[in-house]
This record gives sequence, structure tokens and C-alpha cells, in this order.
Amino acid sequence: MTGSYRLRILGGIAAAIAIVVFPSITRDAFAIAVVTQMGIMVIFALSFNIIFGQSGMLSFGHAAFYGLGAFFSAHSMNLMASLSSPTPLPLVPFIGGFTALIFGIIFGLIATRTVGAIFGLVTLGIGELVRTMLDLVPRFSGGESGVVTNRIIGTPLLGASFGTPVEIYFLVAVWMGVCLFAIYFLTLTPLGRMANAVRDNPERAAFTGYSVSFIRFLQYCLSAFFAGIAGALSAINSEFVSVESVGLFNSGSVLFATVIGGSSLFLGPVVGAVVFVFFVSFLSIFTSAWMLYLGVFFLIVIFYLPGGLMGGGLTLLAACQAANRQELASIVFRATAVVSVTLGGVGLIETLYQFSKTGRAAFTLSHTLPFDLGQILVWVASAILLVGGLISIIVLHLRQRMVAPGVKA
Amino acid sequence: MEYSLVLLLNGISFGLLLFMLSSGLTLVFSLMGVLNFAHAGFYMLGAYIGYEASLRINFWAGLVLAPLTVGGIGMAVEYFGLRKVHRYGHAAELLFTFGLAFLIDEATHLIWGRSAVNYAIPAALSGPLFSIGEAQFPIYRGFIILISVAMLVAIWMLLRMSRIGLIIRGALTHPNTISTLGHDLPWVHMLVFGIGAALAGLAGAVGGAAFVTEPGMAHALGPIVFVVVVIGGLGSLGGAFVAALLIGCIQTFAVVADFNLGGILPFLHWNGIESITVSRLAPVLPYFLMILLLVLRPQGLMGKRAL
Repeated sequence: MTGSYRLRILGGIAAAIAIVVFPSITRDAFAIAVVTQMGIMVIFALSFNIIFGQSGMLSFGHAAFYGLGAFFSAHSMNLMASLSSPTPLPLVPFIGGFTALIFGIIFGLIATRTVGAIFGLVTLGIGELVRTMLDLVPRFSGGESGVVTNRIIGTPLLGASFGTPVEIYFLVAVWMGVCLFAIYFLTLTPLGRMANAVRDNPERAAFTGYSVSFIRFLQYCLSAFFAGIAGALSAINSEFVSVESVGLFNSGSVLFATVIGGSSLFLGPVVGAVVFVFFVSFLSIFTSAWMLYLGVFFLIVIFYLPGGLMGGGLTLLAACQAANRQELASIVFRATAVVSVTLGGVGLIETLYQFSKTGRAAFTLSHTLPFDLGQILVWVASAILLVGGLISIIVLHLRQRMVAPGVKA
Repeated sequence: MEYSLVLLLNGISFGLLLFMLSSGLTLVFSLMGVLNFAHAGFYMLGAYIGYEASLRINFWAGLVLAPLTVGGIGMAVEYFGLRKVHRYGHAAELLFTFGLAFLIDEATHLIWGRSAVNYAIPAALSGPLFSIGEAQFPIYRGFIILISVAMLVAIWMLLRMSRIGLIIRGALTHPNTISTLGHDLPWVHMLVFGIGAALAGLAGAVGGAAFVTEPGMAHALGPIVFVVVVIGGLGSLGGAFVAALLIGCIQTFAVVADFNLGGILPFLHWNGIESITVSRLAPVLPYFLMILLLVLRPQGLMGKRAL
């Protein structure tokens, strides 16, 4: 246990060093912007996991708190600028957090009366309620053009006026660290422990004398608070908020990130947020079908990786450590099959999609080759990869059945 | 007065369409405990299949093909998807249908593009059915009422008068007994999921021509259908029926009401809120009603158990 403890501390220190030195390694503005976005998403996903992973409440309207936090901080920043208030900018996320907390209390009183699927529906309804209400007050929500704000306000802190992206990067990094520790600490408190009990068995949890619904309510409010902080940081980062930030797509994004990373482990949402933002930022440059891949990836995770990428990765690591040479070869073989199915599938979707749009193949191998040859080559290569991978997966599956008849995988 | 009568009929036709959607959702939920987030996606697929059929064959073929195809897709989703994720619990099932809804949205974008398609009402069904005073009631609205009522009677007869309906009703209350008696419960699940999807597909083929067929339609209607189900009391078909008609009429009446909030509540003055007209309030009303109901009666209109 001490070994794993030491490993965790070392990992944490390594991650902190990596975060600190990252802006000095790269001067690429896009990379810094993406990593800043990852930091905000990490807070958002961790806040979502307070209710989902920790308390077993699946919400489909969590973006309401993110968006409301963003709107109220943007308006506060504009107000502070007009009053020339000396309050330093790094404190603004508190405004987002506390306004979201107030809304969390109001909505929590209603939503936490329900559990399970109905809770999902009610939170979905609350999210839509907030979105449609914001549409009604264009003077507050800015209508379609959104609310623009300016982050150079208040007294500079530690010599930083927070004008440059690197300064915002560090602001987000510090807030992320604070939130990460706060939410981790929450899981160690009696409230956090009881929330786990309520998630696993509400009936038994009630017999310990705690009010199950009150625990759900408290977790809901705390989760709203941290989501508001994430929203405020996004308002500071992009100096812009629109009604889209409260929409169903944003609620779905945080859900996707958390599930992809793995909700059952504390650091799962962190991994998920990083992967998700990476997915969205880079994939959207290369292909217009990126949302389709995201959806397929999400479904694959649900089917085959119930512990998410983090859980799956840890299982794989343990299997590799315990495996003998033959088993290791089988793991490598399986991984190759999965990679080849992915490559083949992506190749086919891209070429078909590109073909349906323009009548041209997406990747022509070489411009000197005759056009048709390149297209056919890509198609054939993708088809071989896809079919070959699928066949090897099916063969593996059948062999497993023959080795252990009647034993369910 | 004549005008409000026509409005009422319009509201009823929209409400019946909502009920076609929410009945499938309710049936699947009561039987399998699964809330199908992709239900509105099935509705959208029905509309697009109806559109394709109206281009290639004719409108009427779409009315047959859309429910059949979407029902088939639904059965495949149950067989290859839901059944597999069932072992990971209810949260995984919810997540699966949510991901599926997302996937249907994206596939629609890729196949049919991002703008609306021209899914037209056939000539035989366009024009007014009758007019009261100056207000006209379109034939197509009457057609929606006709189709929905016919469908509901068919479903009611299937559930109440056929052997398969008897098994389904048995599976609702006593699933273990039903499988002990030798009935294939997973097959019943697949069938009911298929029927629910087929109803959504039919609603799409009918509704897509009345409203607009575009990739955002699932997202626009989905939350309202869920609100209907919550208001009615999850798992209660009767409750869903009342709630669907209620929401249908409220939405229809609110859209044409031309007085503003300041007129109703004179003390309201904040950020121009007093100048909001009731017609602009229409999208908010279903959600507002849901919140109100949850505060007053958490089990829904006709739900038997507390949520």
C-alpha cells in the first residue's frame, strides 16, 4: 500500500512539474489554448463526477450550472470594470461558483426528490428550462451574439494582469489544482463516504440513520458549485459567454468526458476531460465526421470498457504485468486487431463521406499517381484492415469459447 | 370563439402526435425499465425515411415504410445493444441510449446535411378541411388526428385482445411468471422495443411533413416528450395521454397569445422581462409545468408510486 501511495505522490509531483514547464517548452498559442481548455474541462468533469460517479445520480443538465456560472461572472466582470473595482481577477471564479451554488440549491430541492431515470429526465428538463429562460432575457444572455467581457480588471496579482494566454493558463492550472484537492478531500469526508453508500445501496444507507435524500441534495449543490467555477474560468478564458454554454450539447460533453475517462475512479474524469478536449480540438481540424467518431467511441467505451479508459488501462497494465509470454503475445495480437479495425473503419468512413460530398477520395496516396488508383488503394487498404481485424477478433472470441465451454466472459 | 375552436383542434392534433411518441417510451419503460433517450432520434429517422419514400415512391409508401424500417432498427438496437449493456446496470442502459441519440443526430447530419429537407404534404391532403367563420382547419391536421387515433386503437386492441398482448401485459407485472410459463421474455422485450420505435417512426413520417424535417428536430422535440412522460407519471399510459394533450394544447395556445408578462403581473420590472409576450414564453412552459408538478405532486399526474 505504501508503495502505491509513494507512486501516487511521485505521479502527482511529475504532473505538477509537467504543467509548470509546459508553457516554457512550447510557444505554440494553439497548444496552450487547448491545454487551458483541458484544465477547465477537468474541473467540470470532476464536478460532474461528484454526483455521477460518487453518488450514482446521472444528470443530463449539468451544463446549466456551468453556463449560469459563466454568465454571472461575465456580468460581474463587466460591472467590476465599470466600477473600477480593485478585486483581483483570480477571485472571479468564486462569483461563478456561488451563483451556481444558489441555483444548485433551488434546482436541487426539486431534482433530488427523484432518483434514477426520472432524475435524469428532470435534470434534462431543468437544463432546457434554463436555456429557454435565458433565450427570453436577451438583455442578460446577449441573445444570439452572447455576452462579451474583458478580463483585464482589478489589481494585478503577483505581477500578472492576466492579459496573456500563458497567465490565464497558470490561473486555470492553480484553480484546477485547488478544485482537484477539494473534490478529492470531499470523497474522504463522512459526506463523501455516505454518498458512496447511497449510490451502492440506498436502503442500507438509510438504516445508518442518515437522510439519503439530504446527502443527494448536498452532493448536488457541491457539484453545482464546482461546475460554476469551471464556467467562470471559461468566461475568463474566452471573454465570451453564449446560451450554447448551458445547452444539451455541453451537458452531453461533460457526460461523455466523464464516462470515457471512467467514473468509478477518482482520476477517471481527469483522463476523460483531457482525451475529450484533445478529441474535439484536433480531430475537428482533420475531419467533419469527428462527432460521429466521438459517438462511436463513447458507445465502444460503454460496451467494452465499463471502467472507462482509466479502468481499462489499469486492467491492461495489471494483465501485462501478470502475463506470461504466450498471454502477452495474445494481448498484443488483440490490440493489433482493434487498431486495424479502427484504422479500416475510419478510412472507409472518411473516403465514403468525402466521396459523397465531392466525388473524390479523402486521402490520395500521391498526387503523381493516377487519381482513381489512389482512391481504390485507400478503399482496398481500409477494407482489408477492417475485415482482417474483424475476422481475427471473431476467431479469438470463438477460440476463447472452445477453451472454456460454458464459462461466460 | 371560432378561432379558439380551431386552435383547440390544432392543439389536440399536436398532443396526439406527442402521445404517439410518449406511448412507445412509456411502454418500453414499464416493461424493461429503460428510458430510451434515442426515442426522438427514431422519430427523426421516421421523418427522413418518409421524406426519401415520398421522393422515390410516394407519400403513402412512406407511411408504411417508415414504421417498418424504424421498428426493425429498434429491434436491432435492442438485440445488439441494450441486451448487451443490460449487465452493466441501468446507468449504462441510459448512457447507451443517450450515446445512440447522439449517433443518430450525427449520422443524419452526414447523410442528409445540416439544412431542412423539403418533405411536402401530398396534394390530396393539402388545403383546408373545413372553416368556422374565418378560421380554417387544414386537412393534414385532421389526417394527423385520424392516423394517431387509428394507431392508438390498433395498439389498444393488440394489448387487450390478442394473445401476444396478454403476454406483454403479463410481462409488465409478472415477468418471472411469464418466463416460467415458457414464454421468451427477451423476445417480448425486443418486440415491444420494436413497436415503440415503429410508433415513433410513424409519428415522424406524419409529423415531419406537418412541421419541418431537419437534423435538429429530434433535439427540439425530445425534451418535450420526456417532459410529457414525467408529467404523466412515468409508466402510466393514461397519464401520458392526458399530459400529451395538455402540453399540445398549452403550446398551441401560447404561441398565438398576444399579451405580455407585464400585463399579467404588473409588478414585474427587471431587464425588460415585463415586455416578454406569452408567445415567446411558449418554449419555457412545458419545463415550467414539469417543475411545478414535481413540487406539488412528485409521482406525476397518474403515476402510482413516488418517483
